[in-house]
Amino acid sequence: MDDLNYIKSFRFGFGIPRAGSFDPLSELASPPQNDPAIATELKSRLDWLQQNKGNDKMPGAEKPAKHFEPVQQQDLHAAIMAAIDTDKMFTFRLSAFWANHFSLGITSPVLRATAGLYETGALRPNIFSSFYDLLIAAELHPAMIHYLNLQQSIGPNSKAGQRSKKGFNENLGREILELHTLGVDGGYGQSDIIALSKILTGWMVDPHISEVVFNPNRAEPGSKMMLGKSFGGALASEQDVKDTFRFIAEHPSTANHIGRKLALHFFGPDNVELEKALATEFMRSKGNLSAVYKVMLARPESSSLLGRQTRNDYDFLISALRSGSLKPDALEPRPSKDGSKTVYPLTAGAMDSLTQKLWLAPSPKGWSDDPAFWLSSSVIGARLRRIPMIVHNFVDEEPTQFAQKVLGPLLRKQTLDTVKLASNRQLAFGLVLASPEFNRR
Amino acid sequence: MITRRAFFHAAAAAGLYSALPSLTLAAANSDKRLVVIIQRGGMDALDAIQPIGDANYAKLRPTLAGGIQPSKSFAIDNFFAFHESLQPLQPLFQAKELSIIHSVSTPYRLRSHFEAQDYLERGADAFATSDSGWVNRLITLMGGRKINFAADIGAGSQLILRGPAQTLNITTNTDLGFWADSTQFLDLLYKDDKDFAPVMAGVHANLDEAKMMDDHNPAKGIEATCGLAARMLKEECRIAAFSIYGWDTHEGQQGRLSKSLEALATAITTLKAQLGPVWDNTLVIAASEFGRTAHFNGTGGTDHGTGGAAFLAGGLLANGEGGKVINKKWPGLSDDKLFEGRDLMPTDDVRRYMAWALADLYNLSPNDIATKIFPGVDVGQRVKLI
Repeated sequence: MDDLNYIKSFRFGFGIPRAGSFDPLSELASPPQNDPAIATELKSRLDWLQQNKGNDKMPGAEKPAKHFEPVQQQDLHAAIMAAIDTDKMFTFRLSAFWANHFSLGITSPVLRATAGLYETGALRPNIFSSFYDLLIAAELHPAMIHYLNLQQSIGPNSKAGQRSKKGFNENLGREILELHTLGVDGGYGQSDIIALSKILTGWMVDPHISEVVFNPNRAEPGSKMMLGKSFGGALASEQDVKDTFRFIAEHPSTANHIGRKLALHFFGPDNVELEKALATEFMRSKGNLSAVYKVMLARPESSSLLGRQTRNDYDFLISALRSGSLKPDALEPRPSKDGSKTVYPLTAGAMDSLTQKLWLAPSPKGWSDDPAFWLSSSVIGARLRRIPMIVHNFVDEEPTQFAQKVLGPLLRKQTLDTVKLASNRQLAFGLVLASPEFNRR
Repeated sequence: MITRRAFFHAAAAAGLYSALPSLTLAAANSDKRLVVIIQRGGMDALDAIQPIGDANYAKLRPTLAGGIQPSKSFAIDNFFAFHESLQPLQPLFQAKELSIIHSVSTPYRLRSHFEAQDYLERGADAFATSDSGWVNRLITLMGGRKINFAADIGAGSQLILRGPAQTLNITTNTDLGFWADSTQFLDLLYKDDKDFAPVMAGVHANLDEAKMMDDHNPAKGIEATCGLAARMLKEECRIAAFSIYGWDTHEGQQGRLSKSLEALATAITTLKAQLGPVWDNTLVIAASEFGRTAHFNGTGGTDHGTGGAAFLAGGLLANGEGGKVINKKWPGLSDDKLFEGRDLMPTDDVRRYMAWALADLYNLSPNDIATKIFPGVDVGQRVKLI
């Protein structure tokens, strides 16, 4: 594999491809398909939650949080297995980028039940589509509706609001504008946040059918002024959110915000020209994401040297597990020591042991793409702690060849020299995975 | 057993860490400790420290349909009451080892979590601080006086500690597998890399910690974090910082806020217990990025607001303003007195209090603090907090 291919595979993939060369552009031609089985599974989990919603207060009944603990581990395991196996590394990297852009957090058992179906079921099938489609898929997903408190939000002048004297909150409305679309400097104010929060009322997970619906009885009536434009009429309709999302999805501030975030994620900080090019294409194509990726892949920066960005924990783990030849049963789930549950030491367990909790960030902002965040000793220390377990499952090979195979032209003399000094093979493999160049991209 | 102290000395002597000047210091000549806790998410100050003496308070927080009602509380003076989850802090308040600064905020006004947290961590806006955190700049300012390093405890690095001065980032998770016997290889692997070389200091600290933990029954969560902070502070470390999450109570505030306040109370009481006599030389500052709306929103919670409250704790407060709710001027809670008709009105800059506390803690000039730590703060009239 040539040097350029190494650079691209680190920047846009999980390191060296399984076989042949890495061609991210070719992945745009075969976007991931929607899997109806995921929607069915989501519905059945929401049904379970509805049927067992009183369990927390019932002695002896299974608590929802407990019920979904193993489910969450299975979701994580499945996601990591898919990323290890895939020959579509760019697709998986993009999918993870968007799942973090529209980040969830673990605030309730519903999130535990639904977070694992959100990226694969709702986001991934839309990442090569328009930003508008992706925005709808993210914001109107049961996980997001619960996470940012839209589920309880009611228009105070709606039928339900008048009857119950309840109202709305600003959580989802604010984060859509600040984090998901326009960006914090995107030119909106408090009144725009309130307008969007009112427009969003009515959308909820219907507990009777476990599906997202628009319930006009809960939607705030009357037109709302947002960003100088009027949305909705005397009677609220489900078209109002769509019109609003269309408007903000194609807004210049959104184009700039997404351009900045893509450039930061794949290239590191301070790539002003690149950010501008991505924003320009976003505007020109009205948020056609494939068109934006094409521009990104064709930019001269794509083949420039690596090192200004740091792999996040997900990239690190997937790349590490793809780097060596794993022993046959290495990734198999196994019973825990006391036999009480199933554990996944190299997949879900490994991910949980790192700083980044996949899909579930400490705040709606998602995990940072600031390289300094990932260069702290707590983050690197957590990786170091997991490396012995990973390399213990590698099939033996000659360590310096392993270093050259994994790192190619990125391999530093310092790393090669240290690997040669290592007193055993596992330590040598571990040093490759611990090396600065393996942890950057 | 190689102690952490011995490690730092040995590392300095061997010249391994010449890139890390603050770690080469032999001994700290200030015995004062500082703990900074960031309460991420925006604490509802009106629920945590309730102004029950204001007749409008009950109107803002009525019992709502669906059983949402004001939190239970107990009076601590003739105007304010603590949320019931702060009960464990009452003895400290009575012993003048805890104070509240009420209806304050940073100058930031736009209600974004992330901008507001950045402001609180930088100590000013980004233009004035070139993206470093105020604790980091404090270490630089202390450099000549041999104040030693600060520890950032928990996941990832926090902006408050980021910057040119060396800090240590460690966690409560300490099992290093085969590296425990092979750290010399990592030293070699990282020695020429400007980002990875400093990481090794934390790795070594974690190894020390692992050895110390052999004798302990390790605590979990916030207690483990505070136990680790206390151990670091009892040695050469002088400043520790960590975060407590869970303050963003848009709905279900009753349950959520209780949990977060319990965590805060546990953090402060654990620090006191674990620090032992060192508690008498300690100042704890706990602050959140903003307060929340004065009225309940429509979903049994509160939305992002402005004026909030900060906590000060530590034995040093007994010499100053311990056992008080400090408040420059109570802003009032009628709609016309609220900021933009919705939030508790901040009547003072929270940085002003932090500035005077730091000035007294480390004998710094208010002018240095106003230019280097909290650029642009008007320190105003002296407040003797400690």
